[in-house]
Amino acid sequence: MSNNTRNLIVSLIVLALALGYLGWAESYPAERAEVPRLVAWVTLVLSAIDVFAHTRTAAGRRTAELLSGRAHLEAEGDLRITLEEWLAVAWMGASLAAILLGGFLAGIFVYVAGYMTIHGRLSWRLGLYVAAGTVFSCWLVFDELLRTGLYRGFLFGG
Amino acid sequence: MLAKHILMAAAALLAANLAGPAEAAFPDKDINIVIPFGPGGGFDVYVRMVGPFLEKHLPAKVNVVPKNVDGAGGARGMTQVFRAKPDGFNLAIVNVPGAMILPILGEKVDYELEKMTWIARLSYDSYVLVVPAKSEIKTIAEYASFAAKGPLKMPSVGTGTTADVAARIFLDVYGFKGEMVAGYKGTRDMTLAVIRGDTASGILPSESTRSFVESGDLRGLLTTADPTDYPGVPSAKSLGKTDLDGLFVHRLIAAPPGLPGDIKRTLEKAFLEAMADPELQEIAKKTSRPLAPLNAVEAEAAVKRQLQLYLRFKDVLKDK
Amino acid sequence: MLDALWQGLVLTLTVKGIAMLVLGVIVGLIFGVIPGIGGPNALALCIPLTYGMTPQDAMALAGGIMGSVSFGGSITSILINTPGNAPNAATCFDGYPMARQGRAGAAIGAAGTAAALGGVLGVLLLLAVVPIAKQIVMSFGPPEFFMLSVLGLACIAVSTGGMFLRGLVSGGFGLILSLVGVDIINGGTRFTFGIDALYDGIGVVPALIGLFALAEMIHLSIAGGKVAREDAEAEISGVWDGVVETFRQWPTVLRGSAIGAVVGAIPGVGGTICGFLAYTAAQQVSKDPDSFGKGNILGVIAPESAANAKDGGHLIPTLAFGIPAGAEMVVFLGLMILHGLEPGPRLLIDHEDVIFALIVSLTIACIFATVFGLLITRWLALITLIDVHILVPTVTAISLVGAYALEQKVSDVVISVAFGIVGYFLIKFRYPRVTMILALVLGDLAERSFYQSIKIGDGTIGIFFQRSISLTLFVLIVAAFLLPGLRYLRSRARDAK
Repeated sequence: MSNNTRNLIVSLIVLALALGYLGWAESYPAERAEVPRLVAWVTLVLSAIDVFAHTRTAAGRRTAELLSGRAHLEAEGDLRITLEEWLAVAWMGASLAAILLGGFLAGIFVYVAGYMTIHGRLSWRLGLYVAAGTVFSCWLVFDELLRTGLYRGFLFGG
Repeated sequence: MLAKHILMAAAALLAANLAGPAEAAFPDKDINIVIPFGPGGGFDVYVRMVGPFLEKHLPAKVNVVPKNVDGAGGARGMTQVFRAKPDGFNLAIVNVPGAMILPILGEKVDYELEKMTWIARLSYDSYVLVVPAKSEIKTIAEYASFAAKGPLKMPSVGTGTTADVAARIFLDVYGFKGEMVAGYKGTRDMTLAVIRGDTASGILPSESTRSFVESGDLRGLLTTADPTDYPGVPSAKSLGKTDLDGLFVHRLIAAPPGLPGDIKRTLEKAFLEAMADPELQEIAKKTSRPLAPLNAVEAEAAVKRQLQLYLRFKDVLKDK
Repeated sequence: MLDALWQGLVLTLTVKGIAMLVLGVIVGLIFGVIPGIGGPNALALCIPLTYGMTPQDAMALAGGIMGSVSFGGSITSILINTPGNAPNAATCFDGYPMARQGRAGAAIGAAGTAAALGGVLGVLLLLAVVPIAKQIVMSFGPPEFFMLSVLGLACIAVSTGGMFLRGLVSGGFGLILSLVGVDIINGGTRFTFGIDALYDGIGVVPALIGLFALAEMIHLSIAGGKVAREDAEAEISGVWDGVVETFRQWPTVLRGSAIGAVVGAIPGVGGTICGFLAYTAAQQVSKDPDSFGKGNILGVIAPESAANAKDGGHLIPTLAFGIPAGAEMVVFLGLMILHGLEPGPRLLIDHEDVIFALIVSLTIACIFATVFGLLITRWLALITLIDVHILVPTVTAISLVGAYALEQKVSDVVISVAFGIVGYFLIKFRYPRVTMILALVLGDLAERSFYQSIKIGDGTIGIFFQRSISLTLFVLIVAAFLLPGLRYLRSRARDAK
């Protein structure tokens, strides 16, 4: 699958989202729907133009050049979604899960230590030190200094 | 070696996380006063002003910590205190009638205002009808003839907000036709709107308009306080509109429902003594933020009165 | 006025005053650096500290904070592509590429110098404008606000260079997201799935943290290595070069400061847009617009001077009317009231000395923050040499705490992570994130002003074209939209020769 086709697919997905949003906006009563409807239509039209600009037709290409200038013609890197990317996204999700479950202090400790050792393949000692340092700074600045009252997590009564 | 120590410290921190408070004489730890709005606003200022003096007059040495809990137009802060343990360490400064409007309008909220424990009142503010100074309207009579020419536009933050509600009641009492221009971000924004001429007039809290009347940017036509708190501006009562008399914004201190009587009395006494403190009174004068203390019983009565007043006008508030 | 300035100087330069100023600068820098929290938080924290202080000392503290927060925010923008505060977002565009090229020192040097100069110029403009401040504030009403928001969006889309169309699409979705939450005007909620946490809509700061900080962390996670690319000339020096270059580029500094101060003076528009507008302006007048986004130092100088000049601008409506020009000013007003300084028309008459003490503090703070920051820049720049696998989890952790600390809502953390993941894919498929975040910022203002304008103007859109400022802004918007197409046609014509 070429890059251009991938771009086209992404544009189509975006178009579908805009369409879905329009439908949702319409479901609201008249006054509340006014501005959302306007925004939905504008986004829809823009998405449609974007789809058109990525088709292989001559007119499409002309539109792309006109609206996006020279830069559009540059190569756009590899657009396949790789395993590394899924892993990185998963780790971001993991940080959230850790915090939701164990609260900030416990969650951050586990996440930082875990990321550094497992994903980063650094020494577990370094992982512990950095994790401890991070947790300590967060605790000092947010809990003590700012009296924020950091979230304790689902497991600890949050 | 160090790593092991770190692990132990981490475990200790976790344990501290889980420990709960000990029981002792009140107060024995910091008291939080929740401000259901962001920092810098009117309610925020009052809490920060009175806070240090509350500390001074409490039987034990603890901190009084203002906590801004913004969101959902004040509902988030209210809900937080409503659901808190009634141990006297979580209080709220309440906007009455602000906090009661949404339930009156039939919107769902997660707190019940009538069940809260009322401790004291810090102050109140009246409403004033203002027009830009460059307007040709100089009295309420001229305003009435102006009103006859077409719907009166008034600035508002949104449906169900305090000034919006006050304005609608005013319009109803006088029988004027009005149109609310919503979307302003707060009292100061609305004040600017009237000066700028977005709308021909507005109903605004006295406190925020006072300096503009003094500087000659605004003119007051009517105030809801009697006797009048604005020199030269007639009170609603003197104009025969007793329904508008007492249309105020109260700043009350409340605690969660079920607060034990002795704790309530301790807090009430501390607040009243704080407000009687000559140093605080000096500050109140200097900052033009007057105190108008009421004790617990009086505060609760004020709440009930406001509730009845707004219930009477319920249908007006629901209009477009 | 010189008299009053001298008075202000005298009042500030006491031992206590200077101590407060220095404290304010340090607090401001730290708060500025941490993504998510910034000026408003720092000021709110320091309010209790000011009990019992004289008003002048309190103003010294406040001035110290306000003058340094922005520079603090630019440091993270440059080093890890993560704006410390919303107004610093534009500094990322060229600041981060510079860091990747090993020129972090020069970037921070330029940012600091631009910040100091911009701050001073902003204050000068404040002083110059005070007599006519009233007229200025009065001339901008809802129709002008609406036009400004649309203009802001158009400018930003244009500044994305080769991604104008997708920039607009991103912006559209940003607007869509800005509509989530309660409809304060008509009542009822929209697009919230009934979730309470979404009642107030999607917070700009959590979204900002996600789209920029977290998305960048995902990106770095995959790229590996260090921020400073392996092939970069790894000279983490050149701070002085950055400083000198900023002085040489004084037209850009002047232009950026003017934009920052003027737009900052308009209450309700907010400071975020100032940096973007200055960036766009610098790009459009440059002889080499395509070099922007790739490490052009002007792309750091312009937004940073604007971001600091806006502080002076913010004070105009705040001091003249007590109308806060942004979140930071709201807290500042509270601080003033607590010290007996009633904001409003009489403030400058009754308390001239204290206000000038504030102005003096603000000016000194800008300069001091920069000098202090520049001294430690060499060490700061070393961050770009840290292994990415240490940087990513720590920055992620701190960002998530920052997102929570704002309003103590766990939902904000969830929102941040969601935006982080979406943000990564936006980077990958070349949808500009900056238009999305700006649309999120401006969407609320745009909708409210639109609605208000129609109501004020008797139900038609005629009002937008009857007021001179509004009409002028409209013309600018049209021009902005035509710009990319015109440029392209012109370059094609040039190539054909």
